[in-house]
Amino acid sequence: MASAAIDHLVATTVLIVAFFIFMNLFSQTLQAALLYQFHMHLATKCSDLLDNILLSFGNMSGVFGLGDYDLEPYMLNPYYVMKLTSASGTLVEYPPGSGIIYSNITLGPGDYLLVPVRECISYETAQELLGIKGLYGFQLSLTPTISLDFSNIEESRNSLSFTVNVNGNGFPIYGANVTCRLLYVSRVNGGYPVISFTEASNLTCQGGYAQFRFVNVDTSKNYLIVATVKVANFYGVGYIYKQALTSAGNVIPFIKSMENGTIILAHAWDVKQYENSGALHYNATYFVLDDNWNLEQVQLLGNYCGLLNYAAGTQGKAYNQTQIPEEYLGRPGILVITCRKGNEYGVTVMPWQIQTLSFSIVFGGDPSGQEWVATDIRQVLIGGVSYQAKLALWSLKGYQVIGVGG
Amino acid sequence: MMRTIEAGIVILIILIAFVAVSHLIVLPSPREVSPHNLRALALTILKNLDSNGFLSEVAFSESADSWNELQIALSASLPPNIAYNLTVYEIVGGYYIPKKSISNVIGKVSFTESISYIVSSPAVTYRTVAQKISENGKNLTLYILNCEDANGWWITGYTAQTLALDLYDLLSPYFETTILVNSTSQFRDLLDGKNITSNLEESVQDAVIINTFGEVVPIPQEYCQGGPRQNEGYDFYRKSYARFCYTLGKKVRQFNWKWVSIVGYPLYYVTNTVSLYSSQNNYGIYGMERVGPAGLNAFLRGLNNENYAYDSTWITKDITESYEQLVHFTSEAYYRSNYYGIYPAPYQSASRALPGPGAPNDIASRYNLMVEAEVFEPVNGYYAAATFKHNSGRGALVAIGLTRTPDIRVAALALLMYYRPEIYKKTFTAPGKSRLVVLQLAELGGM
Repeated sequence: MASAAIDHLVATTVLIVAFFIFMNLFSQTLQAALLYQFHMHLATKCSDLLDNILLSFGNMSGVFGLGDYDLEPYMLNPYYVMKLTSASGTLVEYPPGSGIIYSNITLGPGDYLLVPVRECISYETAQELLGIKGLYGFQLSLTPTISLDFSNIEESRNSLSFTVNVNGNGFPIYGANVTCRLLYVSRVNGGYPVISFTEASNLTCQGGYAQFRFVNVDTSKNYLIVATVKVANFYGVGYIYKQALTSAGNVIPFIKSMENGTIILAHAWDVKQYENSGALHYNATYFVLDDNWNLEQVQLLGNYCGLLNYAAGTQGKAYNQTQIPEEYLGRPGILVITCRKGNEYGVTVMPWQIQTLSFSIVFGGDPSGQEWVATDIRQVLIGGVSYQAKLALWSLKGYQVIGVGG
Repeated sequence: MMRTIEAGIVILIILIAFVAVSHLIVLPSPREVSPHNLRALALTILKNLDSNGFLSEVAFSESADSWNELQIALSASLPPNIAYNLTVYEIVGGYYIPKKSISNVIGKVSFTESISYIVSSPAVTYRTVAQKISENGKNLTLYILNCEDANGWWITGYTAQTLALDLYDLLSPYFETTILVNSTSQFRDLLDGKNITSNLEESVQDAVIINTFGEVVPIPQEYCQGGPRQNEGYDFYRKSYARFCYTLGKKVRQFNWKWVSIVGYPLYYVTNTVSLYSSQNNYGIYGMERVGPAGLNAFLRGLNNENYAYDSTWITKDITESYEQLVHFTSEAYYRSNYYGIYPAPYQSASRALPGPGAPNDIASRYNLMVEAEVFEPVNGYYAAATFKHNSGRGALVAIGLTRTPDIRVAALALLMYYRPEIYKKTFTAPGKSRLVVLQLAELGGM
């Protein structure tokens, strides 16, 4: 009788233990399968959402899209792209304390694209328009697929030589026609630096580079090189400048209104970047680009040259305002601002439409810290320049697909 | 002991079941769970390569340089871990004959994705032929008002004459006969049912008439005050040309016209630079006189075969201001926009939308009209651009109640949406003129 009871007890205990162990094992398998389903769904959603963004147009009434109704699919509207609030740069307030905030794409001390946030579309608004608010987070990045880098830059008294390296997605591109435009400070007129420009073309060799040499140019002050390459019907752009900053900084352009093309030219000191508030003589030169990327110089409306200082004296002020003529607002362009403080020269460049200087843009949230991020890519054209559009998507709800930051 | 053995057997059974299930449930690899959509990527690359005809040109080219350039562009566009093979096939008699192939792979690779894309020879010019718009088996005549003795309003930045020429270019392929009405006297002839050209195909009956003068309608001198037909053109009691609008409505019904108003409030003014030379529209434009909302109301009465009465009730709605929204294309408008290759902006401001079913002063029920071919989605019963056709089948008003300045493409689209003429592609299937490009992709490396 006792042995039967013990037998019963042992059997029951073993069975219960085994039952729970197997329950656990089965649930793990099911859990993994469910998780894979969630991940698969996220990947599908990511692909759909990316197409949705790239093929729709406008950002109103339930639509958030970067496409252009007048262009072919996957050719983006440069203005919609410019109006994305950049996630890569810290927002800038200018004038300080004014409450006017600018979306900031800053690639270096002399490359800026500052667009007023009130004209931009925010991440939260985009989520709402896409109908994914509270459900999914995303980050959209647009990166040029063809890059141009500069090396072996050598300056002599009246000449400048350098090498342009052209790369695709990890591969050097050979046999491509590279055109370099050299914009240099040729003289000083009334204290203001004046820009001249010249250009040359060459083919890349097997290693994907092309050498250039400009003679009879004054490179002692400052210069900017803008290089473009055409591969099939895709363009790539790269640029380099000699010296961005003087000891008093340089002039920082803020787009005051995209609609009418007004631009604020602010002393870097006034943007609270530098201690030195020394006077800067500047000259803002605007170039529009035609279909073949030829530069055409266009006179800005008012204050294209001037003096910026700490604004306490009788001359100058901390910022000026100029304007792109209305008839050129629809065309891509490059704003080049050269400045002078004594014998020091600085330069700032700003693209009008991001592709003109091959700016990248990151829009949306931060995927770091998420448990699972699905990504997908497409190729798009912005004004003829080939970009890779990459969407990272993560879930803000659901079983084990959200991370700590969830 | 027996029970322990039984428990052991049960555990064994469950264990076997678990092992079996574990073998049966094969979870996909992480790459399969969250794959890059290579097909979509490949399609975007091919589309972009062909965006200005480059791919089409290369596909029909024998030049090694062109193919090299294509290969460079492909390598530059695809991520480094993607292997590709692009093959161009010639299509002959239903067979696909490979013409040329490029790849970045030496040896064998299992391509997992492929996308095909048809390109056309750049040497081929595709011609399309539009079906002529007809009604009851008869080709219709399009009249475009281009009167030299009239002024426009709400067509800021244009003149009626330039709009007329643009409309002519846009719509004449769809009509057997397109005629510009160059003076108000020619317009008077139309009102009398007379042809104004010697063209044998011209027919006043069932015609389409586009008023390019915006909110203004040209009025022949005879219908003006003091003219021989002033009783049909002028309301002496109200001192208004609403009477002419009424007469016009009657004529639209009589001749089964489709009257197209391209922008704003229809028939809000009348214009004749000779008879009304000293009148102005309160905004300093001479040669016209304000009728106000009474013009449209009188027109609709005429269209509905009612007696004339003066009614100055304002019936349109400013959707943009009142509801703070733009009007959006209907899905049909999107489709027809692509079909006819006419691309006005799909979002527009509408400040003179006509009331249809569901809106106050609904003209559809009041005047026995049917709303057809809506270009924009109605907002609270207001139609920004649509055709209001009389239930009798005689006469219609195509009203584009958008805000100035006019986009005549909307008017053209509205008209084409109403008649839906076919577009015949004449040489689209020309043999040997199309090639198939197949791009195969494989992802290398990783798990």
